[in-house]
Amino acid sequence: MRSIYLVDDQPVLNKINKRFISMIDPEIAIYDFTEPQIALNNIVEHKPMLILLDLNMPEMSGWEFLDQLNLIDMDMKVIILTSSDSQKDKATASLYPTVKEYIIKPLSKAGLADIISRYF
Amino acid sequence: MSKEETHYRVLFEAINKFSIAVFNAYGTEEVLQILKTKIKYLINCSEFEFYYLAGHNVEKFCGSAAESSSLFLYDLAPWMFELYNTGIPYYYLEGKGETVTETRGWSFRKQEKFGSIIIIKSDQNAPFTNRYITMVKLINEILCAKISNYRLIKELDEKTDKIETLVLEQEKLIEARTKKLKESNENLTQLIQFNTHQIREPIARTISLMDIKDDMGIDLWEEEFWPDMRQAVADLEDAVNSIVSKVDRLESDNI
Repeated sequence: MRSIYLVDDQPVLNKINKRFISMIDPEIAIYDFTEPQIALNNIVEHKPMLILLDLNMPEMSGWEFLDQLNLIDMDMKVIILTSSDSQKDKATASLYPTVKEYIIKPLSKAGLADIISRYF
Repeated sequence: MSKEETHYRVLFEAINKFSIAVFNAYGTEEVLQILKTKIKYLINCSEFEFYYLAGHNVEKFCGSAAESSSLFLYDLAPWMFELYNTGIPYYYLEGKGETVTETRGWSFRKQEKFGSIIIIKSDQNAPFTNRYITMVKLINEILCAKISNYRLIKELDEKTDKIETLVLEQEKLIEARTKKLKESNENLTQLIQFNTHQIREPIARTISLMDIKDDMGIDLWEEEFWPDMRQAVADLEDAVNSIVSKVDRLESDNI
């Protein structure tokens, strides 16, 4: 089953992205999490094809999430979706093989449609 | 070769050796030893004293005792002080018969503040004659040149020490300023990173909220997302206030 994870501490952004994805492709299963640890706990069960991951989160940062994800033996694709345009963050992201893209918020409906067409 | 010629030849060799020895002397101690051991080959005297005067400072070199000392101009005996000021050679005779001692003095002024004095004591065992006066002048020139050379080297060493101290102080100052600049840069970097997230995040949220409005219709959007919009604007205002206070703090730290 085609599925996507939305991991962002801002519930409204998850809600917006979830609604956009439903409009673009209603058959994709969408799981949204404001707490990255809960996302990790469920990831083996859901086996999402793609994860949209925020970086700046209070409980667990996007980097910590990626480090934990590396420990799980699964073929994951991650797109970082962040408001940070720091070169340092971009350079760090390139060190993670699971990270396929680094996108700066906001992500429009057209942008999401493009991602879905390429990854699903 | 006449007796006179032999005398001058011996004297020439002696002054030659003396001047080479003084030229090669490493320090004042060595100069004193040269005075003690070699002056007797140049002039007849029982005591030889050389004074180098620079401003109010006087360096005394006692050849016969091979001792040196530092004095002030006003420590000199009144007759020496007068000798130095007038430049008139000094002569004093004391004792009688075989115990007669003659004291002679010459002063040589190079400039207003620099000069030298040579005092020679002689007795019947080592009688001083006027033909030694040329030798006294020559010895004075050799010693003055050497001592002024020492003083210049000493002055140079002191200035080098001062420069080294200054360079060290400058290095410390540069290090401290570099540290402050690094801290300032670090603070600025943190501020920029903070701004990036704090400002961009609510702006991005606002844009996303506006984006979805077109797909939902205004009524449904207002019902579902208006509180989120208000929250995003409030978060943006908080972020701006937080940045302004951080900038103020940075500015006051730099004052």
